[in-house]
Amino acid sequence: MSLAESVARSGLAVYAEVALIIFFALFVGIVLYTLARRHKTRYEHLRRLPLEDGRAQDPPPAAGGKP
Amino acid sequence: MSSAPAAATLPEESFSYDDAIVRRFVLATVVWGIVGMLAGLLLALQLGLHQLNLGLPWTSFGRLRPLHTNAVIFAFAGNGIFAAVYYSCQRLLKARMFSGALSALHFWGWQAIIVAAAITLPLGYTQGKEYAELEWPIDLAIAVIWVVFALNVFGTIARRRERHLYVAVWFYIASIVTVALLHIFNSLAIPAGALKSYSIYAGVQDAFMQWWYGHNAVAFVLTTPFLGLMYYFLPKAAERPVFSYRLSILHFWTLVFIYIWAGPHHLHYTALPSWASTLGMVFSLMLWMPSWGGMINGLLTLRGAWNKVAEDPVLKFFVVAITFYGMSTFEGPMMSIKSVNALSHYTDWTIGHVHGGALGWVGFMIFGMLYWLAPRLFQTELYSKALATAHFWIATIGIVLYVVALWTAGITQGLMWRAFDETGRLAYPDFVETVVKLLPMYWVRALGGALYLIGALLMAYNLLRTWQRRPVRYAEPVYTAPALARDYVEPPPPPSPLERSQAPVAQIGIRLEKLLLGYWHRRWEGLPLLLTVMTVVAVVVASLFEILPTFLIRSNVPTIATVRPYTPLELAGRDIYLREGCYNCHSQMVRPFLAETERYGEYSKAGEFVYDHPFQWGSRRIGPDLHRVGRKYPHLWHVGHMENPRTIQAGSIMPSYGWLLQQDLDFAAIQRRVDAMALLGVPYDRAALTRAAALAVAQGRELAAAVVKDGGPAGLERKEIIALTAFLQRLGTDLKAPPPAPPPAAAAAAARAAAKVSP
Repeated sequence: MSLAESVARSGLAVYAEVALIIFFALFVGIVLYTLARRHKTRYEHLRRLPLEDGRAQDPPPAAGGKP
Repeated sequence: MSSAPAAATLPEESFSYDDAIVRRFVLATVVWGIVGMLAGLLLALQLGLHQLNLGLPWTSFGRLRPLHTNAVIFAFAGNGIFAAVYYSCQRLLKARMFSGALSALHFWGWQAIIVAAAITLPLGYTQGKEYAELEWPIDLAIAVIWVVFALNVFGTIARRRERHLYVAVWFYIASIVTVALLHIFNSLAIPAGALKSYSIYAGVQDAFMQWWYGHNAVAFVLTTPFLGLMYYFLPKAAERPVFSYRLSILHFWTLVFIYIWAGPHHLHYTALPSWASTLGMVFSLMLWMPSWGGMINGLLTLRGAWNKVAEDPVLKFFVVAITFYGMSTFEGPMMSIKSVNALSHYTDWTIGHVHGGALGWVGFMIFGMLYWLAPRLFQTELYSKALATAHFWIATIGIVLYVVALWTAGITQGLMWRAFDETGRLAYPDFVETVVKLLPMYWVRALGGALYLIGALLMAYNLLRTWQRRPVRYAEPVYTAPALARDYVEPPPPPSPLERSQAPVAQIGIRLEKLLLGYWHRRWEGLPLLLTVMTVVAVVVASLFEILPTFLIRSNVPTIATVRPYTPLELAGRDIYLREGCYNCHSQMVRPFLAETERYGEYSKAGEFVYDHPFQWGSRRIGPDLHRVGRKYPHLWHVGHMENPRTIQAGSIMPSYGWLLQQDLDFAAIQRRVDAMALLGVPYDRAALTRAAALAVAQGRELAAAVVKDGGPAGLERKEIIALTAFLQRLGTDLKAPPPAPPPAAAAAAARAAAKVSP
């Protein structure tokens, strides 16, 4: 029996539903995590990260704005 | 600073950033952007004025269109992405790029690939799959250079001095790993020469694989890297943090989980199994949610800073870009609804939609970034803010003209195709009527494109003048940050509410609560390898769940006994069809609608394409569908039509293909190509496998004689036009071909059985 025939007879139709449930459960987990209040301090640090490029010891002399 | 408590005890380290590589990618972005847009403008003008095809093979629409799409996607957007990644990653990770040598190899390797594409595509070397046209040696080079890029980025991540990865870096990681997967699996092909190959997939399976790739190229080349760019450069330009970091996390994971499923919406009402296209539609509709969440997050980042938008061209570009992101990601899911798609598919509405995203979202994000980067990279003031503002307004007007013209053209043509008169006949039976109607809109589109290009030229001039004012020697500022502690231990999570309450709950309840509170995710954010693996798992699992059934379940692609492989001459003709890029204007897929079966004939079946390596269903009908064109007209009709379409059909905008009547067919290559097809499982008989060229010569002679008999020119038997005509005359005819003769033994058994039951 070929691979295609084996798969065709193995009743895999249900696995799309299983995948959907797994994906949905993981997604719910991420939503709950994201909305948890306990991460507020760390998020505040992370959201400001682009504005803190490091502390330049020797900033460029030209009028080029922020490094 | 880093949340690592141990890090505070470590000594500060000094480092600087490599901005020279960013400057190179900025230059490449500008140069290739102008080249790609110029090619796009020429194509737009060719639709209004067919003479602009110039009668030359390498300037004809079918060959130049892939050059335009590859140039703007992989050269303009690609180099823009690399500039953004190299600039922002170093700063977000507080580390210099991992290797200067890898950076240089990445830059020069990518430019060499672009040059190779710019040479081979006009010469007709193509795999015939949209946005994946490049031939196998270039595909291999792309894979190698992409790995170089990935090594450099992951090496930098490994050396970082910031423990937790900012969300922009997540978007970059997802893009890097997913693009690698998409490119490798969609490009799998069997070589049939130095610059010729055949996709290992055929028909429905190739179509599924191609649009899994095509749609996710939109997702992971034109969306996620630009979201990373948005989450870094927008706060920088607005000088305020992103509105909601929580929303950015949700934005990331929902895109990763959902986008990968949406590809089949490109194949509604085709021979693709219905369950797959419905699945694609449902996931496309779900994309509304994260896309609009991201758009709102971007726009609300400007809360309290809208006064700056009025003054700053950078913010102007970003605001309009994010607005176009919202518009395109609303329009895309809407077009994926089957009943809307029935109207919009194969029309210019799709092209209008794509350009809303490409010109508005991708282009404007890049322009905003370049204007923000220029003073910082060249360490001087921007030459002219007024010119940048003029660029913004000219390009915005250009986009509006472009997309409105194509929305109108698309809906007009879609309605004309399906219109019936009061007698029940097609209201516009001649396809060319629906083409001529669009010409005014094509001119408006060309005007919009020209304005957009003028804006880009203004930017190039502005950046050039800024560069000319650079210091004699660039300063290289030194930064300090503590190294990450190797023995860092993530601080334990605070007690959960259940633990704090000391309620009499079983331990499993507390564990479940901790799982739901998602402490595990916080650990992922500090573990790039795990984050990468989880992203790959989400993408691969979704892809396998969707793609495998089409490959493995036979009932999805029913076989048709009368469908036979192409003859050697027809195969050679098919290769010419690919070379000339006919799929850029013609589909080979009759959908099961009355208006289509009336116009073209029987609707297309999945089993008819089992030997089509690659599939040629197309995505746009600038000309009519060709799947049932076989034997519809005499051979001479095709010869005359290809030589000059206007002698057969007044008003046609198709280029003339006079060279097909002059160039000799490469008979010597035919055997190699038949052998490659046989290697892919196409059941060629012994004769084809041993003397394919001789069979092609014989069929060509027969066909050329028929042309002469009908009053056509003599001496075509060895010309390319004969092979192309043979292929076109075969298209879609197998369905009504007589069934193959059974083998002698089976025939004798059947005769005996028949004798027994006869009275």
